[in-house]
Formats: sequence, structure tokens, C-alpha cells
Amino acid sequence: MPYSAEISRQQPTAILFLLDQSASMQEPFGGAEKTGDAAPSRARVLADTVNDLLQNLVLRCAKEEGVRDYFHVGVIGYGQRVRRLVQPTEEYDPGTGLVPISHLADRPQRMEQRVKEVDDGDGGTTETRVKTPIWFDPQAKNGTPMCQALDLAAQSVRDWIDQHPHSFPPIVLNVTDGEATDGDPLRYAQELRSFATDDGEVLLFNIHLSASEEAPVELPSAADEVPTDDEYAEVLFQMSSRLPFSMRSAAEQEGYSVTLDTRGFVFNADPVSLVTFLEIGTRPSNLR
Amino acid sequence: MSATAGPDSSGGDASAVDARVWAVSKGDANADAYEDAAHVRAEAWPVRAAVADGATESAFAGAWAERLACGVVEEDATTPEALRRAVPAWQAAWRDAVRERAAGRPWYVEAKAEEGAFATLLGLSLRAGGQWRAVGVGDCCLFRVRDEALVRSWPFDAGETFTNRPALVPSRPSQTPPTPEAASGEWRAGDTFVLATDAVAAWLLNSEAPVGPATVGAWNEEQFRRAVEQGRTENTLRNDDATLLVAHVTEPPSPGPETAAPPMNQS
Repeated sequence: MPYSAEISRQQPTAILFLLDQSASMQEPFGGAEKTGDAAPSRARVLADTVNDLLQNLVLRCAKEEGVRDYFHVGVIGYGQRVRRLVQPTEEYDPGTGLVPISHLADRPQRMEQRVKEVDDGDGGTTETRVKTPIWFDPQAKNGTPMCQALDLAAQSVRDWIDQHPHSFPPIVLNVTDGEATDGDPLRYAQELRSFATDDGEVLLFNIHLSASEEAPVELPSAADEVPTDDEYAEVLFQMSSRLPFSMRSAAEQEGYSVTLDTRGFVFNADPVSLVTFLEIGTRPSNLR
Repeated sequence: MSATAGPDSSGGDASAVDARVWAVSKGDANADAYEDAAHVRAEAWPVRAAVADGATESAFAGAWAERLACGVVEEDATTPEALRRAVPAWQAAWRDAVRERAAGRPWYVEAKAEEGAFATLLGLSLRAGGQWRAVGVGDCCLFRVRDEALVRSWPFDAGETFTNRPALVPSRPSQTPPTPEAASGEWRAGDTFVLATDAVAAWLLNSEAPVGPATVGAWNEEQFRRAVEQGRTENTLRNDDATLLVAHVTEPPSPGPETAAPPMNQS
């Protein structure tokens, strides 16, 4: 059965984020104007969300003796330029742009003190300052070179698969708020998804961030579930892989109804559905 | 690597119960701490035994599994009510020990310590008068074998029943623990009780595996280790910590109050 490879340190998997950093990401989410001028930009929400998610991925792999390399992780930003936002250290560069998660854990750009509510040990909560790692900051400039980003992602996963031919295949999560400005992304997405390990083809999931007040369309199973008057929604639907078994289970636990045809795609995502879907999309299977 | 439970794991020579614990940690080139735990106190009535399985995604999970298995045996916390009463003190002991170990470590070790650990748990108590009772949270399994035949499998009786999301006992007091399940019955001389953590339990219940709960009582530690290696190679046994506790009752129940029943070397 595909997408069932055990994830271990000998057989890690890869998670690669592609983050839209185009100028339109300076705007807040659709509907945010209701909340006033203080609404954060989509770029800020996305950077915070992905930094939080990287922190959670590290914590899923952390044991008392250190961080186990169940995952190799990459982040590619695309806007003014297409560039890797996390870099391997000089002494350990596997050449794929995907960094073992223990290296990521030990090398955040900086640690920030943030106020967090924690248990007071007596049934209530209390506010405390916790150390929070930050790997990259928000950016929003120029166009949306998504095709170049998908191409760089394809190079990364191809090289990574050469080194890990039996692993659960790489998961690529593309988060964008607009249309590609450098070509037809479907062709690049198909190329990216054509690479495979013994356990299955590369998984590409797409999250389209909302610029409108429309309700999100989450995890559609058929093309007619996405807005039919939006050609771009149809393209992103076609670009997206079907969810493998483990992620269908994770989606069901989050309350979604799923089928064998359910795609890893959210259209018009609000911040809540962004977080929820990234959580589901980074749950390949249990770690060993 | 194999690991065995602590010094109280072997049966006392005065006991009517012969108990053995075998354990093989998950097969991995980077062998890590074994995160199951097993304890047994067989030298006096009531005989108590427990196995626990620390959840892989939590840190300091082996210490939590150890605290739970040891606590059940020391305090005979083998009813849901007794377990519910006992857990808060074990949680406090775990928190104090782990805070000390995590202090000054990298941000993720401190964060994991704050997140707490989780474990499944199974406890068994055999009373001198011939009764047994068990308490469990999650997917550790109890098998009762008589005349080389499986007569009870609890809480699961099929390998397919195991999921990746068992109920777990949390180390953090703020997280509501699942309601423990309970079972009880009568034992007689010659009965064998087998306690297994989930991977071994699913393997013993797998109809395609050449092993079963009724066969393990005759094994020795070396046979267990070899069977585990073979099961992993043949993919009938999941690559996880493998722990088996076998308690064989050699004498019939004693009538009368438990304290009057031999053997009497109560600790």
C-alpha cells in the first residue's frame, strides 16, 4: 500500500513549505477590515503560522536526549525573489535544501520571549513568558513567481528522493494568495508530483489565502465544489494531490468528511483553516 | 538490546506465582532508551504485576511509564478508583524529577517537559483466595491461559483492534485522564497470565503470526528475543518496544483471609 512507509531516523520524510511573499501579502485576510486597522497582514499571519508549525514539528521529534531526525524540512519563499528561507549549516549540507530537523531546532534565527497561557498545576491557567524560536520573518514584495518556486521544489525533492528512495515521499505545502505571474503552475505541479519514492508520489497540497469574505472551501473531493466562476481555483484544485490514508484519518478527527478523492486543497482559507490544514498535511503517519 | 525490569522483576522463591519479564527495545541503529516498563511483586499476596508503554511523541515517556507500572505494583492500584486516587501523586513525582532534568537544556527539551508525557497502562492483581482483577488504560493486553489454551483476552481479542491512538494516562494534572477499564475473574492452579504492551499483544493476536498467547508461557528469554527478531523481519511484529510479563500460578488458591494465606513473606 502506498503512503504507509514507517517514518524513522533511518527512513525520514521531507516537508517543504512554499510561501507566497508577493506584494499582495501585505493586505490583511478577507473580512479583516471589520476588526480594524490592527489586523495583521497575511504575510505576518503566514510567517507566524509556519514558525509555530516548525516549532511543533521540532517538538514532535524532541526527546529528552535531543531531536530525532524524523523530518527533513525546507522553506522556500517566492516574491521579489525565489529563495530558501532556512539554510543548512556549512558542515552539514545534504545538497537538497532540506535540512534535518535537529539542525533546524538548534539554529533558529533568534529566540523571542512570548507570553503564553499555561496550566498553573491547580486546574487553572496562568500567563508565563516562554522562549519561542523564530526561523524567518514576513516579507511581501513584487509578483508571484510560483512556477519558479515549484521548479526549485522539484529539484529539492528529486535530489532528496535519490538519497531516500524507500521513505514516505516528500510533502510539499504551497501557501499563496494569488495567481502565478510567471507561467502555468499546473505544468510545474505535475512535474513536481511525478517524482516518487517506493512508497508513493510526492504530495503537493495547496492553500489559497482569502482576499474575500467568502467562506473557505476546505478539502474538496470534486472540482465542482470549488467556485466554478474562478478559473484559478480550478487550477489549484488540479494541482493538489489526493490525501493519503493517514491524513484522511487526521482530517476526519478534525471533523471533516473525506473520501478517497479528497484533495489536499483549501480555497479562501482564513487563519483558522490555514492552521488546521497545515496540521493535517504534516501528519504523514506515526513516528517510530 | 534487551532490557529487563528492575530488581523486583523475578519471582520470589516463596511464591505460588512464578513471574518473568522479558523486554526488547525497538530495533534501531541509534538505540535509545527503552520506553516501556514492567514491574511485578510475586513474593507475597496479593501478587501484583503491571506493564506500561510510554508514548513515542512525548519526552521523558519512559520515566512516566516506569512511574505508572511501579506505582500500580507498590500500591496495588488495580481498580479504576484506586488508580484514580493514586495518579496525582505519581504526576507530581514525575514533574519534579523531569523539571530537574530539563533545567538548562535547549528550548525544545524544556518545552517537552512542560508538555508532559503519556503512557498506556495495564495492572493485574491476584488475590490468595483465587480472584484476579485488572485495570487498564489503552492497548496493553492481558491474556489468561489455561491448559495451553487462551481463555481470555482483554481488552482486545483481535490484532485488528489496535489503533495508533490508544487512550493514554497523561502526566499533566490539567489533562483529564481517560476512564480506566476493569476486568476480573477467578484463577486456579496452572493458570498463566500474560501482560503485553501493544506491539507484542497485536503480534500474539495476529492469526498470521506463528506465535500466540498460549505458546509464550513455555518460552525463555532467549526464545522471546529470537521470536521478536523474527517477527520484525517477517513484518508480523511492529518495530516498537516489545515487553512481555508472564505470571504462572503454581499452587491452588488458599481459603480464608488473604493475610492468613501462604506464602507470608509480606514486604
